[in-house]
Amino acid sequence: MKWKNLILLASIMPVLNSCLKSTDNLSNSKEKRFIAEAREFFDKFTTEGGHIIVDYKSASPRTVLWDKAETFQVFTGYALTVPLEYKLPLFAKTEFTSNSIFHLNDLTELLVYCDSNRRFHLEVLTKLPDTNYLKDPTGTFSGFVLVDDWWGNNLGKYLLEHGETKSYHSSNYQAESIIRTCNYIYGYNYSTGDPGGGYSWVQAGGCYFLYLPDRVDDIHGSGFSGRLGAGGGGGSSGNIINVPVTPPGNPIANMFDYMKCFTNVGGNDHSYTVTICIEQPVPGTRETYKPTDGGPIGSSDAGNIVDVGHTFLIFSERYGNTTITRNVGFYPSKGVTPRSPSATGKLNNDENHSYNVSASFSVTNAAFFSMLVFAARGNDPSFYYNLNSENCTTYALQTLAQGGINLPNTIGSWPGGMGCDPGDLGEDIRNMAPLPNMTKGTVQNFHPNIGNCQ
Amino acid sequence: MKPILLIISLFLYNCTVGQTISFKMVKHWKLYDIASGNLFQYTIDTLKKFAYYDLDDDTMHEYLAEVSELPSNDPPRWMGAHIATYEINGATKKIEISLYGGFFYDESSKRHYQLPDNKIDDWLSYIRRSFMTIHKESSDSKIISGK
Repeated sequence: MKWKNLILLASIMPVLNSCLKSTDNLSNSKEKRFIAEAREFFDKFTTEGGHIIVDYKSASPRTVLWDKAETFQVFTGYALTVPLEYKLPLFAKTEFTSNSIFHLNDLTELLVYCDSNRRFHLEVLTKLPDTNYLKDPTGTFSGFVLVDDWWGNNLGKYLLEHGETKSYHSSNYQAESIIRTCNYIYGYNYSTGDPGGGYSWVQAGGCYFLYLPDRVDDIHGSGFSGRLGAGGGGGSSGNIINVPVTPPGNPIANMFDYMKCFTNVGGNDHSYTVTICIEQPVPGTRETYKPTDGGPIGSSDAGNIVDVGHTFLIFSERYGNTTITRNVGFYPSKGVTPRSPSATGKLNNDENHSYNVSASFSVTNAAFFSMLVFAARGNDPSFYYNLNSENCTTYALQTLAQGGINLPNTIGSWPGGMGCDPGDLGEDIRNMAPLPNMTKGTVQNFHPNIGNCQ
Repeated sequence: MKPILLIISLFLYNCTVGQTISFKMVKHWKLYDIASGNLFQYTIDTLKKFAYYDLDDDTMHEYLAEVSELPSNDPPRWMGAHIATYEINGATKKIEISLYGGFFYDESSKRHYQLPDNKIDDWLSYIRRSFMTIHKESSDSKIISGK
């Protein structure tokens, strides 16, 4: 709770002299009344017209978890903090914590307080812990705290370290990029009830930078923070930050982690390539499946083996002497058949998969990251693989379409089903006139994942 | 009399060909550097010409300790595979390992087997890493020797 008080003090210091100082302890009834009043104010305030939302996280649907409100007492009266829950899985990354990835739900909360004139104020606090805090999350919070209004307008930035509060002021000094926030990987909204109507979004540039100019220790430094820290409303100091840990593996457990080495940079220094790779069941034909040669399909001699081929994608970025490459293929999580064609989807690292037809596309950074955003949905637990309607080929074509690449999608058929298929897609690519920035291939190259980053 | 002969023949066939394998007993697992072509067509003799990676017997036993047999009338569709062999009673047997779903096909018993759900991810990772190790070595040696 201590850090909240520090920030609150820093936030409201300009009106500190005019605030009434409350010394009453908050009783249960007062707490409830204050929460009710705050909620009423919030509902009215946030539905007012005339406001412009200035950033994507503020534009994302979010819920205020009022039942988890914590009230506390400050110089000017009462205050409360409430967790915010974003409906989209938004993640943030900071460069000063070794690129740790945080779920925005763990970082953000709403602060409501009233000033001496009983006027409510509403702010969204985003706390970005530093490595010291991550080492011991039960201790006093240290790191940056961003203070925004409900629509994303920044009201202040504060650094909390060693029990002190320091404010970062906008100034004419040349800005230094300190914080990079990325959420382009999981930036999508998938509706279980409307699988085709999922909404993908990407923030321009993928990552955005918060420019924090030269640091200026303001008047809310050690002296005030010390006083507030000692007298501020108690509560728990254990704001545990959940940092996802993603083990490496063939199945891509966390697409954000898998793709984190890619950088979203415009201009000519960085080149981006997406390659669709197809292993046709019978190379050079439109056959949608290949029975084993041991006997006819359905015979025990053949083992009933039917190969349907596969389609997958290779994402690659190059700059200077650096190359980053990642293979991604969409599969069912368990074996599927025409009788049982559906299963939860799963993204796999396909660096060990062969192919006999490919098409590579040079794309812009924006198109590249739009495709990555879409590709990530393959790991959503509610996103199902279906042999007919959402198979590996469908998924690859849909992903390319997000980047403006529209390939033919001939529908093939097989006993018990029909849909996009590697056989037809391979022949479509082989026979089509090349699209702009497209290179066709019919020889397999070694295509391991390349490039590591922290 | 003919029906009796047929039944005896089927019984013998099942005993010799259709026997469920206990993969805990087999050893000398090898994963081959073959990624294309009709993997089900390669004979065991042909495999000797290819580079291979020695899979760890203990690791394989752990993964395959509790495999279940899949129904033979409607086995899963294949979307890519690797070839492996194992030895049992001095004989080499071949299997195809699916690149998804945690199942494989044992050619000697002509049966599909399925790993438990909780082992599939690790299994796929282990197979991929092993394959990439030998595949990379093969690619590098081809480059070095100019083949």
